[in-house]
Amino acid sequence: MSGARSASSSAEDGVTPNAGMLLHVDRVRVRFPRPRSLVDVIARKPASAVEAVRDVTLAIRPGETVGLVGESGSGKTTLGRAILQLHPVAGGEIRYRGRRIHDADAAWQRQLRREVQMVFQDPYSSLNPRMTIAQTLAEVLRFHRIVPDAAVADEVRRLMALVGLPASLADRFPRGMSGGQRQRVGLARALAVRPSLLVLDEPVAALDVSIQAQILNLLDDLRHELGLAMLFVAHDLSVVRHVSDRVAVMYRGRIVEQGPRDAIFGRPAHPYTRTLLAAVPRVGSGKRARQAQAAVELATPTDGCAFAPRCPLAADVCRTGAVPERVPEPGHVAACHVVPSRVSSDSGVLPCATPS
Amino acid sequence: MSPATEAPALLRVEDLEVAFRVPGGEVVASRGVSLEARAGETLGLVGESGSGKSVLCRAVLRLLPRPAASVRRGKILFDGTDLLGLPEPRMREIRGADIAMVFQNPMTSLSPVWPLGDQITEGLRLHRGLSRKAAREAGIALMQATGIPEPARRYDDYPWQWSGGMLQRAVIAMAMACSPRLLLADEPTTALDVTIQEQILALLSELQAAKGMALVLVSHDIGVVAETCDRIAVMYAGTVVETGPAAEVLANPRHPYTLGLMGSRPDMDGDDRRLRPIPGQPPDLARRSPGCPFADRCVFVSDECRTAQVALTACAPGHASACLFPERVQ
Repeated sequence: MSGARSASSSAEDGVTPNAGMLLHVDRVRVRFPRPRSLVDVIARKPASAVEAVRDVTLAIRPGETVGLVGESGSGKTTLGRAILQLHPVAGGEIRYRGRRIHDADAAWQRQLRREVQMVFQDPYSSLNPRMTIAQTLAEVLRFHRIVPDAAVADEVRRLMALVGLPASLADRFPRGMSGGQRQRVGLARALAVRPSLLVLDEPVAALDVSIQAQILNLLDDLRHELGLAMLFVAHDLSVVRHVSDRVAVMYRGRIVEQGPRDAIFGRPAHPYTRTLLAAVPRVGSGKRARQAQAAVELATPTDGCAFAPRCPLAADVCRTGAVPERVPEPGHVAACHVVPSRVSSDSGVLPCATPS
Repeated sequence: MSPATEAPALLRVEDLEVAFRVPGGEVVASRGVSLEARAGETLGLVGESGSGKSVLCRAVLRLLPRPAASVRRGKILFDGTDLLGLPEPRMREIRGADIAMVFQNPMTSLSPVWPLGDQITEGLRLHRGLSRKAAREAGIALMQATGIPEPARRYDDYPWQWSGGMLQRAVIAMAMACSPRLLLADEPTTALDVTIQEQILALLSELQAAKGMALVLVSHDIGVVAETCDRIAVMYAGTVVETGPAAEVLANPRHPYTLGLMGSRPDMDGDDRRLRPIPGQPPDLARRSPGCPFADRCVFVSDECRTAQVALTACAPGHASACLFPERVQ
């Protein structure tokens, strides 16, 4: 661990690779303790933990959208929440504008709470049912003193217009609104404090397709107008392809592949990414003959590559030890023994290090 | 025409109207729905939430909540018999034996306190009178056929011990137990990841082909339907707005809503065109408009659309659209 840490900090000292990064997730681990029964405590069994995020490194530039995909339980939501400090980090660190987000300095924490905002999957459960839309937005504006008190009402109207909500909804409560409208309120609330980074956790998963497209277009407009950076967490690959500049694929707590959007979708290197992409239903392909297969038992291996039990290319070397990072092309990294590297692996320590 | 399209319909729904009583009025969830599913065929029901897909499935099985829902008009003919006219004891014999259903969330259609094997074989004991021992053998074979590994060891497991994908296999095994002639699958893969979705769709298609049963697959995902179904029916606001062979409808949509659904979906392979969402919100089903239910969101709308009744009208062999101006749709 210490060796790895020094390698990463030397890259930092070189300044160039990480200069200008808005967010840098550096070898982060997040653990959840397993519940211990009274019997375990009496028997002095050691406390154990589930590692939901393992050694994840990811960077976001200002104005860039990074898509984070993976199946349920892959740790993508946990990583997003760790960035908001909603989960403590058990190892590694997260830096925002080059400074550790874990520093306890009150002014720094206030700045972070303003600059980094989260949009949740279900806006209904993240909005106060007893506050009108105008009250919800005004509260945020006043708390963070975004505008003088006299200008709050105007700013509320501006925000509602920004996300495409008719002004007539200002005095409505969340329960009287549709899912799409509520998600617009969730966005308006996040944007009220003029953030630089939005973490969006499955922001369109709960919406119908036609409404989903409205919100995706809105996000597209907003990030161009406001220069927002986004971490877009989703399981729907076509949505992630649509919104992202770069994409990271998570499997069982690790990022197994990341790179430019067109590299991940056009030239996927990791066998897991390929499996995922092959499974996405496509409209144009017509009725497909499929071969039914038996379910696969998935014990998570304690050693080696987590995908090895499902991997069609797995070899003996995959089942033990650390998985090397291969670099099929600049800025495109896959954690896999089998994928050939076409670029020297030194340049791929930080996938964000490609000159843009 | 393929032989499947010439076969008589196994399920034939005619002009079905279902209304729900709600505080302060009523919601008409199904407004004159007509459709058919033939033996050996997969029919895809596509539409957004509230379009009436699930209500239709539940109406076929006569599982609509009572007294809130009532069937006000129409027929549901299964192999020529109107299910709506059958006495409840006869319906109980059909449910699970001739017509089975797979629900979206397997966790809510399984009992948490009863071993999975017993749940899978309940139908066999009830409908076919199998003994517990014979049912166990049949259940293990069913679990094998649906790709559940080590079925003999897992027969006595409880739902919490299995993953979501495995539970969906269990629910499918349960539905297949009595070799139904019609299987209704309501969003069977929506709660699952894409790789598991692929496995479940493969399993359903294979079972359907092997048994020659009719499969009605309800999905909001037009891609799932495109890859799995022979014919599709697109539903909107409780009506079927377009129906026809899946390949034909998706290549050549003749209703603006179908076109809108396709334009809303990010493309996996194409360029980065901007999405073309359907403007506005789905209509309030408590208010009935005299004209086309899609008129307020339609980009091709004319004045006639708001007043004239629109009915499904053939626009190509086997392909019908409930649009007054199907030629405008492109």
